[in-house]
Amino acid sequence: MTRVSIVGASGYVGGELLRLLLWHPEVTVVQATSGRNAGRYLYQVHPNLRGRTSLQFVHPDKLEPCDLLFLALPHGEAARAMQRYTGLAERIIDCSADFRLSDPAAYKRWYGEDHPAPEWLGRFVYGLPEVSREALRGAKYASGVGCNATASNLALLPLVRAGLIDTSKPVLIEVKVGSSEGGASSTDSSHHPERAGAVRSFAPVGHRHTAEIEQVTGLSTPHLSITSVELVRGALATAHAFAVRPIADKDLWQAYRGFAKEQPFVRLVKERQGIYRYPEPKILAGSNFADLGFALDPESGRIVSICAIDNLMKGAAGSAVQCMNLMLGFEETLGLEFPGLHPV
Amino acid sequence: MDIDEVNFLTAMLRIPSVSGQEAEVANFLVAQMHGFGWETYVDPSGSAIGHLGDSGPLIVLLGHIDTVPGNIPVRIEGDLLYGRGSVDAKGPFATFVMAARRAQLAGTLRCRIALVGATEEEAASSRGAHYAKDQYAPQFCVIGEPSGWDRITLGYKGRLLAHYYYEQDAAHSAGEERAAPEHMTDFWAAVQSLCAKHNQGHTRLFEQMIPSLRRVASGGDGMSDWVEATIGIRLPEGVNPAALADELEAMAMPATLRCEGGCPAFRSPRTTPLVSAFMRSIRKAGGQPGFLHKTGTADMNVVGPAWGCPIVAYGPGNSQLDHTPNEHISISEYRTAIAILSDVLSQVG
Amino acid sequence: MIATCPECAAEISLPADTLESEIISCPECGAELEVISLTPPTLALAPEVEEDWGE
Repeated sequence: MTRVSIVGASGYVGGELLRLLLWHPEVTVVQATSGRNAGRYLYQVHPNLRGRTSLQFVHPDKLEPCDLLFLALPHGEAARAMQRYTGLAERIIDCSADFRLSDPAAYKRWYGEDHPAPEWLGRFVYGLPEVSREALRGAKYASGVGCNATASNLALLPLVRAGLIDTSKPVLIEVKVGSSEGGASSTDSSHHPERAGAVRSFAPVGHRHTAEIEQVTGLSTPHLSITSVELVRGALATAHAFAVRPIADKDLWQAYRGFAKEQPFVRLVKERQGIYRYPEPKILAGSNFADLGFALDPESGRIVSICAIDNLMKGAAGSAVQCMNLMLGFEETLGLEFPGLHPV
Repeated sequence: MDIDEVNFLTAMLRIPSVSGQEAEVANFLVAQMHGFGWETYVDPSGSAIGHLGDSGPLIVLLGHIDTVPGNIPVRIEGDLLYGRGSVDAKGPFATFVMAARRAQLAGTLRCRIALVGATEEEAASSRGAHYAKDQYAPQFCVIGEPSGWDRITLGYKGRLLAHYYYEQDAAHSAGEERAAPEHMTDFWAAVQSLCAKHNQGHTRLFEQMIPSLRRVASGGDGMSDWVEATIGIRLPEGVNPAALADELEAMAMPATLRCEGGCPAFRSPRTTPLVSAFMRSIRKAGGQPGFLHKTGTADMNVVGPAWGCPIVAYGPGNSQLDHTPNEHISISEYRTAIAILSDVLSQVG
Repeated sequence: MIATCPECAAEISLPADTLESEIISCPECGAELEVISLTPPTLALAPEVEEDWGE
């Protein structure tokens, strides 16, 4: 059994990592750290884990050596303590934004400060198996992924790889997101009377995940807007791009099918009838699947590409565990087969 | 052939058979089919039944033999045969009988056939189909309704009939009391708006709730005034007639509303061997097959859900002529439909 | 027998007993397709279902 520990295990991503890893057949969770919750049982913070583990949170100072460390810390904290963590474990998966961007200049532009540990940037593989599967196999260090970036990237990648996007025209992405993206700590804006029922333009421009979309898709100017909607889990990216040449539905099917057939967690959803004709994040809650769909306006050449994910799964913990499987040479889908619930 | 196809249909048309009065035409059919050597009888619902074929899967050919009222002199003008029921639906049922006969004589039958000339389809009761529903468990079914020789009907809308009655103490027409007929028109307006609300965003007729005001009467005797009306609503898939009836009854209060004939919509898939057989036969006859969803309701709504087998409706004739004073069928189309169905019957099994 | 969906270009394998004029659903895009030929296996979009008043 591979021994893994989770640093920052009291947040929502930490909770999802625990849920996945406690049931993973090839690993044992040794420690879960939380400064604030040290000494408390895991279920006291993550109530869904009640009765399934007797583990207690330990203080981060008590972290012991193990085979693989998951870091689920606020942005910036991992980068500042890299020396310590790499001394404790041979492999690290960092779910924060610290090591997602390979270019320190991009980091500074989007995060407003110099990268605290630029020498580590080149050593982390971008943690989205859909784009860096081969590099992740056997890798020592993997970054996390941004949830909005992941929904956007998966919506755009089939088009980018097939060369169907007219890059002289803008590519616009609208992502609708659930409240769990805001993390486990409350703010004025997450106060229930304020948050419930809101359709809140959270980041019409300037969202940091734009950098990850540029890096992954190679598009020079993806335009990203984020809207918070009445969901707890889930993100739905609707990307608008213009076709570089006249195309038909058939060309899009080929592009999407070509992409999806390489990806164990990407499914195509484009039905002619029924309720779920396009991707719907609601039915993906708890699942690592990314559902992709598309529509074409043949008049204008506008392609609408749609990706639904669970932001905590494909957009965070699920992808991280998928990375772990690749890094340790396990079956890529191990421990991640849950298909989601319906109805929910 | 021992009886000419056109003579057979003409003879059927000459026997009036308004819903509930099908005995004479049923006896005629039983006698004719008996003459073909088939096992025949009139079943307890009054339907004319004929069985043929010894082995293979069972296909039920069910067409109604009753008609709406209205006497249309039976006559042939050129290629057109006029008569009440020529399209809806004696023409299609005559097609069934003649096609089965033709396939049997040709020795190409590999299935068993049950012909059901059903009663009271044009009434809310669908008596013949409801009885037949429990008598057979076929592998295939064709319903006799006009689709045109080169088209296949796959689905029908549902239906609900609502009878409205309201009575109140007589009042002066210059008074402030609303008159009884006005209460009825209020209810009719509410039904229309209920349907309009449901229909928002639904462009296909098959997805809409379509109301019709079928009958209105009112009167008074100086002591009380009354009004009654009958409203029919054609229902899309997903609308439960019983639940709708409850909703309408509540809406109609204090008037009384009696609902009947509730029947949900039904749609059959076309990825079935039965549909393929029709496609091949229509193409063989030089046609380009088409598919239909109909706004009306038919016996398919009754037996389709119960039997769960591949089912279509087929028959010559233009359903635009259903229930009209101009009802007629093209004789050449009728003959083509017989040829096509006979070919279909030879493929099944 | 392998045929191509005219709608989404999926490769569809047809069972050996497939007949001409059979209607099948594309397993990928759900389009309803008619087998218009077996030599070679060829599929065409099945005609739209029309709407008609009456019974």
